[in-house]
Amino acid sequence: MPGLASRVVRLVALPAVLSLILVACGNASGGGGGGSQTQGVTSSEIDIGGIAAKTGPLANQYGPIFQGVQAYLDTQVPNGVNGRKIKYVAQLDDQTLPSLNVSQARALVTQDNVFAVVGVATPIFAGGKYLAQNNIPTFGWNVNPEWSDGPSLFGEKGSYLNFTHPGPGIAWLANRVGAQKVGTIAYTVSQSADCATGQIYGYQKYGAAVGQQVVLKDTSLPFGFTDISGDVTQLKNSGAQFVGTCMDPTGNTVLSKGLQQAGLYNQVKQYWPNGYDQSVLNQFAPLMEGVYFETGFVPYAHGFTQGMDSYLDAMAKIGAPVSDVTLAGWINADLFVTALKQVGSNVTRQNVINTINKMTHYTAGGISPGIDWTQQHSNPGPIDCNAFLQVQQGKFTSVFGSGKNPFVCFQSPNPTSMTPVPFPNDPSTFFNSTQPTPKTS
Amino acid sequence: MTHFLSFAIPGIPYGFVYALVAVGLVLTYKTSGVFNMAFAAQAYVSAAIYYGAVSQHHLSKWVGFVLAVVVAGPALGYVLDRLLFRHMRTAPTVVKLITGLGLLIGIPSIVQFFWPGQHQNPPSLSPKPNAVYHFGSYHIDGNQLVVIVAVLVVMAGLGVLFRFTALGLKMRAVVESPRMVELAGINADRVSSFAWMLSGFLAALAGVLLAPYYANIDATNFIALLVAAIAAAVFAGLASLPLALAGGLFLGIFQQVLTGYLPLNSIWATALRPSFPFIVLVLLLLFWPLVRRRREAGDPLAGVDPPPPALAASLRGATLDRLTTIIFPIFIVAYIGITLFLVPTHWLFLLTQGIVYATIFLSITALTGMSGQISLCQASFAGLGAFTAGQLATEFNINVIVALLIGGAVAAAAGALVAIPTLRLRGLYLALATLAFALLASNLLFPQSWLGNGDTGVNVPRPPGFNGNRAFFLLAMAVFAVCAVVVILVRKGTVGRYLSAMRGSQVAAETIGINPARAKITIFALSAGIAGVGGAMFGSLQGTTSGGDYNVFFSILWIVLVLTTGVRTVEGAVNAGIALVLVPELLSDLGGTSVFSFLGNRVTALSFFLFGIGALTYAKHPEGAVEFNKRRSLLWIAAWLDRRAGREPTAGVADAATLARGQAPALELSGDGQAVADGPAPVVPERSPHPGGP
Repeated sequence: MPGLASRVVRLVALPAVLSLILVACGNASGGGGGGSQTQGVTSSEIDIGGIAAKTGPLANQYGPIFQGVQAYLDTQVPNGVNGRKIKYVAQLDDQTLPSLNVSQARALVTQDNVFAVVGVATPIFAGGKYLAQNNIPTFGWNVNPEWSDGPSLFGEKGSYLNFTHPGPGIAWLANRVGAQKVGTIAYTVSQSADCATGQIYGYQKYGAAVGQQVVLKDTSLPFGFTDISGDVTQLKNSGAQFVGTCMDPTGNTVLSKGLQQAGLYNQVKQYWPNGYDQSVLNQFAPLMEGVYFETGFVPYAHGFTQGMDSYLDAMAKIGAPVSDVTLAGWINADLFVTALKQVGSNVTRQNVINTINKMTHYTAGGISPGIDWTQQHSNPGPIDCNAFLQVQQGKFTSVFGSGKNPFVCFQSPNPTSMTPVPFPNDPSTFFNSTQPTPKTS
Repeated sequence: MTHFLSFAIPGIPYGFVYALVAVGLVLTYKTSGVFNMAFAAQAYVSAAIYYGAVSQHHLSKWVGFVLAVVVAGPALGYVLDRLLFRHMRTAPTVVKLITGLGLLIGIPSIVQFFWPGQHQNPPSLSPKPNAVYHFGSYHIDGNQLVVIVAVLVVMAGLGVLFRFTALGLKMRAVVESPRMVELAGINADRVSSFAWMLSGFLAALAGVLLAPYYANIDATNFIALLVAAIAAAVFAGLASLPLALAGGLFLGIFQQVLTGYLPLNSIWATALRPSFPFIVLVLLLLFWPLVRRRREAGDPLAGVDPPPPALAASLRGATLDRLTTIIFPIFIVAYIGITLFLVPTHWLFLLTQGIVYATIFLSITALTGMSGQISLCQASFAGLGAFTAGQLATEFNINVIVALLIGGAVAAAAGALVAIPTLRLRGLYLALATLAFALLASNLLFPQSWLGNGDTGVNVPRPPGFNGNRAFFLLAMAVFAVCAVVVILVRKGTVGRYLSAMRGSQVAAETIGINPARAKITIFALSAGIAGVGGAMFGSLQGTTSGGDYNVFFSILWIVLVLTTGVRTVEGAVNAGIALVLVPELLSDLGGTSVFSFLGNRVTALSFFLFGIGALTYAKHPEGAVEFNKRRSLLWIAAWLDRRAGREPTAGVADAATLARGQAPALELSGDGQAVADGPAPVVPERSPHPGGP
């Protein structure tokens, strides 16, 4: 079969021979790296880009990060930094697809030629590895373990994330509200399930000493499916007094509704990791009354710090939602701009990265209790402060703080108990808002 | 008993919705021979219309119901029948299936194009969805009550229709024999249209009733509903409406009862709860007597198909063949050279992605191209290969090239494991079984930390020496070339010829000593192995990959795409792979211009719409777009050469029927075994025949 043989030769030998001859050339250049250290920087401009899951099942949770970044750039540095305006040249949508996230990360660097990636919010940050390997300064919402992939990736609360071994905050909250029979409900999605594992870890490690007993752990809910009748029955049968949910706001409200329908709403106190968001409260206020929330930042209210006041004013001005994701974008932009200011005229990627990684107490202008970038790429850091809130009469109200200070802080890293420790900043200078402090209880 | 009922009662509304969809599926299958996979898309459209009317435009629920369920549902069903499925009544099962799958992808995409963004908290049909009704120590809410009442009313109406009305009798008769019905003076087309409108109504009602159980209006939610309903429809043997109702009800109830009896934080609950309908579907397909009985009854010639025509390359004359022998290698070298040295980095990455996809698509060329069977779990095999390679490379420090090969081997073994229990299944049932396996893989296997590691995914490193984009491109080309050669050799070899014989008539093949089991297992394993190698290359190209890259949606999209471009040739796979990466990229670049800025973030929706609608060409051109255009080009060139030489063009050139019917069968067999004479016999140009090219 001479015809077939020649076809086999054509198809196999040519590419194989070419591979052998050309692979050395291929390796030598065109490696697809991140471009030069000053790519995206001109005398008048610094180009940045971002990636978010703008479409997909959780789109409204991730997409607004760009608004947070842009609001900071427009209100805090409208004339740029050191004569260079910061320009958002691309805001890409990874559509909640991991493969697209990788392609978009590459596209930002090789096609859009950005200097830095500012504003990343997505359920699976598959492109993080590429950005870390190419030392691209990258800033985003730390809800993925990928943020620890390298020293050039900066999450808004540090880059370390460990859902499964958190601090004692939630166990402390359950104890503070008088609950001993506790439980947790989560989706099968790994971040949700890890959150549940972390809550159970907290109850067992820190809560056991005060008699806390886990009576329900459900990590089998399919994401997006909102029938919780089985769990409500289990909560009723077990006599649960406190339930932490690891679901999105919609799932949480379904649980709330189920508890109301079963007559358990007052008996079972709820803690929602997600949903500290005025737009959620506007929509579901009757189902959120009495629910507890927690934030690692200053609460979303005027009167605590000037940094938070600026963020809230900017969000109101552009009509963007006040939420964890826009705050993340705001902090990302602040960290990037702070580093640029310190770097001065010699703007290179490595200089920006090195500058940030020397910061030992970054507070985002008074929004965060403090991030130590010398260690918080792969460690929890020395500060674990929680501000607790409860919905009271249709409003988020700060609870369990003292005076102007809304935080309850714990030992970190490796806390041995849930006994609070002092706030790591001077409250008189940290809480510097000139506006009246909101009511706390 | 109290414990059982406290979980069973909330399961009744789900069961009723599953039953509604199952009845719709059985209805369309009975009256038109089409297993309507687009049912989920129809449900989604009506749910979207209802949401738009009630939540966005604040119309009353009654107006929304009329628009979405009474008007849009039947209208869409009528359009699908009138424009598409009526003309396919005698088409092979695979054509109908692919058309349905194309619609399943295309219809939601076009809705998302015009209706982008997030659509949360779908409204309930109930005027008081939060009202609670107590029955002793049990309770249901307003939403659950309206589901139960609506479905009971519809079931009663259907029962009356089929038992006591002339129209119902006609619908049942059309199922038995459309020709006999027409001989009796009844317009079978009109009856079929009514059946489609009724089924459209049921789909619309199911969509609106089920939507509030989810956080968003999302097409994937309705695909999950569809699969659960398929299980109920299979339980009914695709024939009995009462059994479809019962099957749906049991499925819904038992799925909820699982919540009460499985330890909630155990792997059983985490894996079984979402997978229960898929497991039931697999078990039914393999063991349910009604399924077996349907397969074995009927005309012994029902499984006979004429052989597919020779590939277009056989039309090449000696001159053209010599030219091709010279030009093809030059083309390949030029392509590689341009890609390596002239194309920007970003496009180099995209083209590499296209070649890797083409490698995966060769698995479809092998399986569907050779055996004619549809597999809807090719993405799962690709994922298996990728995760195996990644885990071996990162956890055990095995050389990445070796890990890639082992990944392919593991996927091949999985392919054999899928083939063995499904040996007796063909056509639609085999496709459904592979669909169920795909869903099981996504829900049971890939979330495991030792395999897909859930949403975090697995790192798949680049092989040493191939870290650079150019080097990896060359590796991808080499891997593709090897896989392509394997596919061609198998096609021309013993296995390929066995499969070709089995495709013609399995009975006849067995009588001459062909072992169909061995051929089927071999091709499944080979196909899965190629998909596994391609998947491993994909993972290595991306660096990190997770289960979301291999879900059932991609299996469906890929098969639809490859069947559109051409499933019997390597060129078809290449075209499909390149199209998959280039179309969204080009549309995205177009969206960056001021004129087309409205495209914005709807590029993916538009891309998927184009891919889905492209599948509709499959009915007319089952040989695929590439083969069709190749045949047309070759015939044109042959005619030109003839004219230049002063010869009369051969009849095959001038015969438009030959061109349009690139497939040549003089006889086509309908899905239920009735032979139908169809079109003139083909005319083959008088040239020395040539083995089909790549």
